Amino acid sequence: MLTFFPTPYEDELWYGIITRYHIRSGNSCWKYTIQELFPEMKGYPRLGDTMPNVTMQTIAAQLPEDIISLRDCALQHSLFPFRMRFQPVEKKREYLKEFLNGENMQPKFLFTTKKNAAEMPLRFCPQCIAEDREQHGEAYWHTEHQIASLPLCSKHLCRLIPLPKQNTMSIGQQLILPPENPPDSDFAATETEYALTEALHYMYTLPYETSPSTLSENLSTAIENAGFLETGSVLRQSWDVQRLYAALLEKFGSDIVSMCFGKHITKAHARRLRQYEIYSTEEYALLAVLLDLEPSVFFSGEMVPLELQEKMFELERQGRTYTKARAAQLLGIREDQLLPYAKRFGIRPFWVQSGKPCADDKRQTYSVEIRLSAQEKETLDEYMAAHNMDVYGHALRYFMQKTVEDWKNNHTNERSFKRDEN
Amino acid sequence: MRKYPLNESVCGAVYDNAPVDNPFLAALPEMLSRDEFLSAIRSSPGLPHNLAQMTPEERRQSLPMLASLFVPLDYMYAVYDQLYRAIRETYTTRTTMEAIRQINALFCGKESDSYSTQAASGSVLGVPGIGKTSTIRRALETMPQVIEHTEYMGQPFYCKQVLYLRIECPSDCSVKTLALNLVAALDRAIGSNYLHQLISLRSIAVSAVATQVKILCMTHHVGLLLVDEIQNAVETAQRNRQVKPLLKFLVELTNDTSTAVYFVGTPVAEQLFTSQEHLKRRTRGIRLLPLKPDGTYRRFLEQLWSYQLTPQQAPLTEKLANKLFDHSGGIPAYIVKIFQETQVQALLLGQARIDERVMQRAIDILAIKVPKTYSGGTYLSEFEIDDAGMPDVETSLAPSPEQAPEEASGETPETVPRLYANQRGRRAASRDAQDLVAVFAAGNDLLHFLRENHLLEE
Repeated sequence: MLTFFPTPYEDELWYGIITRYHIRSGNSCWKYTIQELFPEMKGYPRLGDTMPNVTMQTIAAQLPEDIISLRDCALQHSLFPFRMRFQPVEKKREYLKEFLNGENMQPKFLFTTKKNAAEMPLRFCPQCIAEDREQHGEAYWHTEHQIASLPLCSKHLCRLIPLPKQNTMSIGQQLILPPENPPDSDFAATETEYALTEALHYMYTLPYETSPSTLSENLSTAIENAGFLETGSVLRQSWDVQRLYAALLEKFGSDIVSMCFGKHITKAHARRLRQYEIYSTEEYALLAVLLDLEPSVFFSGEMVPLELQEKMFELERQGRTYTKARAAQLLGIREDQLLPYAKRFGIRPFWVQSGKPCADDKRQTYSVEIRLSAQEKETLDEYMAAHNMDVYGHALRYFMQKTVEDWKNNHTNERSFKRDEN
Repeated sequence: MRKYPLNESVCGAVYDNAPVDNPFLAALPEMLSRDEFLSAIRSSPGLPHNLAQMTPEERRQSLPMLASLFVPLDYMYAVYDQLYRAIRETYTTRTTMEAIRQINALFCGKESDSYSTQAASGSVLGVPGIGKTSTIRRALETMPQVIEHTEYMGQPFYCKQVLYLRIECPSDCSVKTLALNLVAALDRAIGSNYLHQLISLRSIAVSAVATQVKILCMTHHVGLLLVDEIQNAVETAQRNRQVKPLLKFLVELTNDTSTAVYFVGTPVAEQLFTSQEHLKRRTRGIRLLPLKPDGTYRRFLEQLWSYQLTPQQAPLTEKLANKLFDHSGGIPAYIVKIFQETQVQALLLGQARIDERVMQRAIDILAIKVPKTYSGGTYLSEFEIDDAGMPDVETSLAPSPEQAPEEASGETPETVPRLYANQRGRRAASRDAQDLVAVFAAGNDLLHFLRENHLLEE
């Protein structure tokens, strides 16, 4: 039975709690503390892991009941909730239950790249160190700071600093304390870094049970809005992974992108991303920033509007006649994509259907010629420019149809009124 | 209603009003009143129920029960009061935050920037056999040695607060031995295994052990460290001048960890304490002299007297009491020893009860030699505690004429001759009023007296 154990601080990394135990034990060597805490364990325990593991269970078993809650250890002192963020709720519950029942948690599928799975150096915020010393009398390792892709401290918005590795030993094999004299804080950050910090912090601080909403296809919609669909892939909606990866590289730099996605994004990976089958929270955070998405859209039922669909509906609703070329131009797509999109969105074609067979009474075989004064033509041109019309005939037909339709409607109403009076 | 049950060495923490950031102060046991304290430390073993039928051998076998007899005296409350306040001072000085800062500073080997003031320190010295150690042990046993914290203000908070540790000054005066003694005492108190760990590291440096001990004192929130038999340090000092590192370590311990340190020993230690100014300042405290042949002594004897296991009870006569005092010097341990041996001799001689002759025989056998002089201090009989109608007891220690100058000046006290119940030396010759010796003794001017009585030839 242990005779004392430090009370964990808010957001303290499990490894940090053990380092504080070591300091309080007065042991001259880290090895003795490990022997004291894990007498039965052979070799060095994996204390440097950011995921919950057997070390938590071993220590909790040596303390009186209710001193250390395994649930708290996993949810508040490891990156478990963050790494499990994109897992379905049932899976999350199952993993947590398994851990609480004594299983050693190391789900490999959470790490998509080898680099991501490797042990990263511990990172700190100089401002947090000073603040912790002021508030608690000592500095400690913050769990959130250990999210490898988090560029800034979410509280102070200064750059997080990795502690250089002194040797090749893993973190668990040695005592690493927050630096005694940390360097000055670096507040010079880019907009992208602020946005990424905000997105990662949001995903880190969500309640454990919050999972992505499978009802919405917001990521897919955002990808389409940003134009990252493959050309011609209107119905399958395949992502243009090369362009997407290039855009990510340009926005975040190669270090962070290769750490999160690897050296490229495969089509299969993209498909799984779209269906939230990739469980790397960082990948979604990077995509959210790239696509200028609020990170909350992954988790709420709120639908991100598909811009093309909205525009198409708007054009259809206006009831004006456009040439196919003009309609495609207005929507920012190719002419040959107009019809597939209209079919996908369930919109009746609102552009001129030349060559399309129709009933005899609908065939436009009569022509009318009108003459305009210069002023009238100028006004008509202005109107057409303002309403994205490029053919006089289409404009005049629109005026005619609208006027005749209004007249027809009024006439019908008057007649039915008189009939009612009689 | 007491906060913690008596004679429980480990208790779960019970908090009362105290600064929010100081659970250790909030968990301290309350100070006992004089009467509560004296009744708590009293130990009166029961006489065997079949005493009348017991054989002399059985009676002699039962005599060691006197070792567990403990008669409370007022001075004990003064000692308790001092120790309690020392413990309280430690926790008042050392808040949780201060402790964390100090531990980290010690770990990193740097100066602590803590603003906490120095913890209490002092000493209790007294003639051997006067009852210092048992008084202190019993005084400390009125409070739990370990308070176990598991939750404070709704938050998990697991640690064991060690109110006091009692260790003996190592005879070799080595810092390492003292540190190991301390760790062993800590292990006994909280059930840890630090000693085994330290001993397994054969080559660990003294400084490393010392640092670990300091950190452990902070981690386990040790309130008071009692170093008994401190005179060992003096004896070693005289032999090989090794005392300085040990005392330096103890002073460092007080400074670095804000842990109160009290030294207990015989007056021999005083010369070491007064040898250096910084030590002198840290080692002031009660100096105990034996009982005086007065009412306190008689009350002590009355309680002892009922423990006669001889077939008949001898009454407590003036003669017996005086004889016992003169040969024990008023030192309680000797009084009990002579009383016990007297009964043994009476039983061996087949006497029904003790008398002066048997007592003299016992005295001769024991060969007790009481010192003729003591260094200054306060007689056990001179401690007066006023407890009448006061809910919170204040200790009023009436300093004796011998003690007052010492306390005031801090110099080495003058020696005090031992006291006797029976006046010693020749009886004073009776002199008439004209006797020159009598005139001189009365302080009159001899020349004037001679002239006045026409006894001077001029």
